[in-house]
This record gives sequence, C-alpha cells and structure tokens, in this order.
Amino acid sequence: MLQTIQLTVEWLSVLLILLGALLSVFSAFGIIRLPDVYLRSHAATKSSTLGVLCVLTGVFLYFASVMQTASMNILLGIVFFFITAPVAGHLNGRAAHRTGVPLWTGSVQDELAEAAKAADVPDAGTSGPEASEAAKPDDMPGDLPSDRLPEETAAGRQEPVPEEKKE
Amino acid sequence: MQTILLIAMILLALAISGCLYRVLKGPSIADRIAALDTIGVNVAAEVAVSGAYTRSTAYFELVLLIGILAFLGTVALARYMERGRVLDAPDDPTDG
Repeated sequence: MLQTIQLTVEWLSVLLILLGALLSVFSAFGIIRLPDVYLRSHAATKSSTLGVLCVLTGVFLYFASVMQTASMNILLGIVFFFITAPVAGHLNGRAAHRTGVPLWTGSVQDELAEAAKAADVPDAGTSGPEASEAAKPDDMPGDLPSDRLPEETAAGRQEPVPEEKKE
Repeated sequence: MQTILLIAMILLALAISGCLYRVLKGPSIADRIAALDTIGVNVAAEVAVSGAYTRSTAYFELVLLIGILAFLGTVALARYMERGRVLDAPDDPTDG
C-alpha cells in the first residue's frame, strides 16, 4: 500500500516536471514569435512562471517521495519565483513604454499613454539623460504612425513568412 | 522515470536556447532584458531537474540563488534603461 502511494506520487511529480518543461518551451516559442516587447513579456512572465512553478513543485514531490526529504530551498524558491517574476515583467514593461519602445502596428489600444496624458505625467522618459535622448516627445508609442516602426522590428516580424512560403 | 526527467531537461535546454535567440536578436533593450529574465528562471528550473535526475540535494541552494540574481539583474537593468541610473539619491524629486 505504502509502495503504491509512493509510486503514484513519484509518477505524479515526474509528470509535473515534464508539464513544466513543456510550458517553458511554449513560453520560449512565444518569446521568439510574438511581434513586440509587450506581447513578448506576456509570454515571458506568465507561462514561464507557471512552468518553473510546476517544475519546482514536481522536484519537491519527487524528493519527498523518493528520498523522504522535504527540501526547504525548493519551497522558498517556489514562493520567491511566484512573487518576483510578475514584478520583474511589470518593471520591464513600464521601462520599455517610458523609453518609447514602439508598439506592434496591430495594437488597438494604449491605455498607459492615455492615462499619462490625462494625468499630465511625462511618459516617454523625461527623467534620465539617456532616456530623454532616446525618446523625443513626438516619439510617443501611442502617436506612432503604422509605417514608422524601426526596420529591425519590421524585419523580425516579417522574417518567418518567406521561410514558410519556401517550404 | 529517469528518461522522462532527461526529456524535461532537454526541453528546458531548448527553451533556454530559444530565449538566447531573442537576447541576440533584440531588437530593443527591453526584449533582451525580458529574455534574459526568462533564461534565469529556466536555468533555475534546469538545476532543480538535474538535482532530481542525479538524486542529490547538493545544488538546491543554487535554485534560490539564481532566482535572486536573475530578479535583481532584471530590476537593475530595467531601472537603468528607464532612468539612466540604478540607485536614486535620497531626496530625488524625479523618483516615482
């Protein structure tokens, strides 16, 4: 009976680890394929956090069942990743918006630019010397015409299409 | 069971290489920062799985350590990109 429970928990933990690794692969796929920073951070924060949480939970269960040791490091790691990954994604997205990284041309809404305009807060980085150089006021992402994306972004977005056509 | 753990490690390595492509390609700094953060998270997961694969708890401190380093690195880089500096002066009026 005890053996059966142990084996079940072991298989469950291994499957959790596999599921987490698959989620990490999906998030990497999203990071490669999605068109701009904001959509990419959607893939980079949510699914990769869920993936690493699944992996760590699986490893914790694996050691609990196989070695009969509960690893506090893994538990702390689970809590830590759960707290910090969204914070890091939020900080990165805000910094990107304030320094004027352009939105994808298919984006339909830019609520942060609207809110910053309504509250009369400088949005495109007026605080740092480098930031004010990088983003002039008329470079606001919300005001960007659709044909004015930097060449690299446009190339990165359109690059996969010809490859698929060749095949 | 060891085979499944090995497959999971290979999948995580694939995910890390995918993020590495984004770090090299760019195009903006924010892309690289986000991809580097994801690489850090995936490396921590990889270390944990390799610990389960070899059945040793020796490297489990590394999981937490890599997580903390990745988070601090992301915060520092994002703040540097946003404000041109990482740490603020105590009475800085521009500090949001």
